[in-house]
Amino acid sequence: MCERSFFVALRKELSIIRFTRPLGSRQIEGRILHRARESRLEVKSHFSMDKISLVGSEFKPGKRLATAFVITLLFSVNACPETKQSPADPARHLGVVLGAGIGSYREDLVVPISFDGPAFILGGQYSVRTARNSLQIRLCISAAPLKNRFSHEAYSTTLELRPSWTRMVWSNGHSRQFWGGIALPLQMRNLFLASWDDAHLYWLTTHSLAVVGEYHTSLPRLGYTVIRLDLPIIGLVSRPPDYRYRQQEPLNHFSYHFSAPNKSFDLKTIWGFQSPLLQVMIRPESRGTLLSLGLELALDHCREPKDIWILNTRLLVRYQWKIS
Amino acid sequence: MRMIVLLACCSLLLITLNACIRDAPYKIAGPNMPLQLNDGWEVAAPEDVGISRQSLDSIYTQFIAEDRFFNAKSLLVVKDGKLVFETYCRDLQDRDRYSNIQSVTKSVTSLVFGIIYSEHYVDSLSQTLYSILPDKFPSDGSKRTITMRDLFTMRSGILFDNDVFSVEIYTDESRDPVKYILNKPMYAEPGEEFYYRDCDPHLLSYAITRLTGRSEEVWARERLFAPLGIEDYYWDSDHFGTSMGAHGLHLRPRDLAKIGQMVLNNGVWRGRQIVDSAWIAESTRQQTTTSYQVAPDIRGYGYYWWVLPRWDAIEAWGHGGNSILIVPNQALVIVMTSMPHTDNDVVGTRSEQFHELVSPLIGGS
Repeated sequence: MCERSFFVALRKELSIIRFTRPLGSRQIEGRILHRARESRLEVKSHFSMDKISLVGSEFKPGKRLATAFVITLLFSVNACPETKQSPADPARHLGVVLGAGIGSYREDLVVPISFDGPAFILGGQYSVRTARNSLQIRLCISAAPLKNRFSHEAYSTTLELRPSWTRMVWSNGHSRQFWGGIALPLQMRNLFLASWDDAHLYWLTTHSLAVVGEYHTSLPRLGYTVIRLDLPIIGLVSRPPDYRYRQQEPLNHFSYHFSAPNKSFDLKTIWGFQSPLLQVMIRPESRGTLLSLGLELALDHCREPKDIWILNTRLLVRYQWKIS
Repeated sequence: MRMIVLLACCSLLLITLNACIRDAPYKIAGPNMPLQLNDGWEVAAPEDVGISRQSLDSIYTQFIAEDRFFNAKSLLVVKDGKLVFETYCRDLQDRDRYSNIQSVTKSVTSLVFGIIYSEHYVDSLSQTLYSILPDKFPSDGSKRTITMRDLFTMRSGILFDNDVFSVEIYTDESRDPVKYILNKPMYAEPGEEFYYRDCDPHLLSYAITRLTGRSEEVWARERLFAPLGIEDYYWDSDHFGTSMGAHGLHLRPRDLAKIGQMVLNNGVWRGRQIVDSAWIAESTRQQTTTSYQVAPDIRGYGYYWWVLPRWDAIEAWGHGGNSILIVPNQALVIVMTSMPHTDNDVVGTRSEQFHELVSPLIGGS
């Protein structure tokens, strides 16, 4: 059995939630110590989220479902057996990444008109972390149905594999830290401009080496804020040929095969292509399950054979379970 | 409340950031007076050949508008054998670059066949395809009566829709494209019903190769393009090396205009007979009716030429807005080229839109 405390802002007042979770049980029990009113409320929650009962009152299913979900989610973040772990022991997490936002694409090989639309991302992330080192591998796929100002349709998909390693390089106690490292993102961004060219796929595929910087700062009541920037500095870049504006790919070679976007790689530096990724994530302090919420901004630009601009901005949720 | 405000701010931030990727002008208001080059064309001012500047300005304004003719690239007007109007709305370099002209290729196939026909490689258009390619036919005898005339008038009866033609023939790399086509089912008896398809011209390209021992592209290069001074071109072929008879030829806009002017002159270019005038007359005369029977856009079909009774005109038309429009009674040739792979229902230029654009030049209903 473990017993821990953490801070959470409920409505406008600071509360302390204390809970206990018997090992092997699905049930969470806890108490909310309502500081502002010096009152003491008891909370009982089940993972099934069908009922949250308070001392003296009861949240009815349906009416308070959203509240129950948030409380249960926050409970489950910390609902783990406390382990006596030294800072050098690696903590391994595996989880899912979900996001939604807006994607904007402009492929000047076809027409310099931007195509915009809702973009959705789904993936997984594996991380191993010690007190001074962190390894992360993120695998995501995203999709976006797009339209331009004339309502011409297009579709985009992106496949991304982003392994990265960072190491703490500066620390001001527990409140502020700076981590630095490298990432090796592989990104396949495909664009099908159905209205403008229904015979070809367009793409920007990059295998790059990026420098990574992370700034961690603790936030009262919320845990940590992590600001991370990935900046590719050199990489292999693949783009379609520039003759499609007037000429079809040889018919006995053209296809929509998966391998097609990976041909004809050129070595380019940051002057030839730019692909920064900026994340601002809020992560409640926890040594168990990790929940992160935040914003992600990904810009991609390559100037050859003609400019392509891709900007994805999204709200991101990352939820990871501790696996060892 | 704070959470709602925070989410609203975040959403606003996302939308604002994404607005950073802006549209750039994709059409240019370039010059429209042709330059005198050493390429066989004589240029003239529109007024010198009786065309009003006002009507050309009106056409030009519509042509370069960004919310119309999305995929258009070039527009040329030839009157009385002189180039009087020439504009490139996407890239000025398009004047000197060849581009896929899609099904305008069919009309060039007709001209190439006319050259071969005048050299008596074929006795008559009643000759059957079976007599030329007997080894390619299935044992079933239903297709053995398909004649060359049936192929020219899109009446072979072979059911092979254009939506799947390229994919099945070229991408899937069928082992023998001719056998593949000839094994397709029939939609009608040969010679019965017009149905616009790519497979008939492609069978004709195979027939040319078998009859003469040389591909259609070789015939075109030596006997059609060379006399017209056309050197910079590209012609797709299938994995058997056979020129694509239905589409896949790439030409420069000025070279398309040369072909149009040569046809207007009954096969003569700069005093030299390139294609037999009898073939020009026969191939550009209506040979069959089509499904386009709504005025004013009634169209007949010759031998791979559209016939437009509205203007007593003929037209080579290719997907997306590639055209050679020839109006003999006004000594007028109009050429338009467009991006070749656009969706016709959304971005591509349809023939009726093009006809509406240039109708002030032609007049009539």
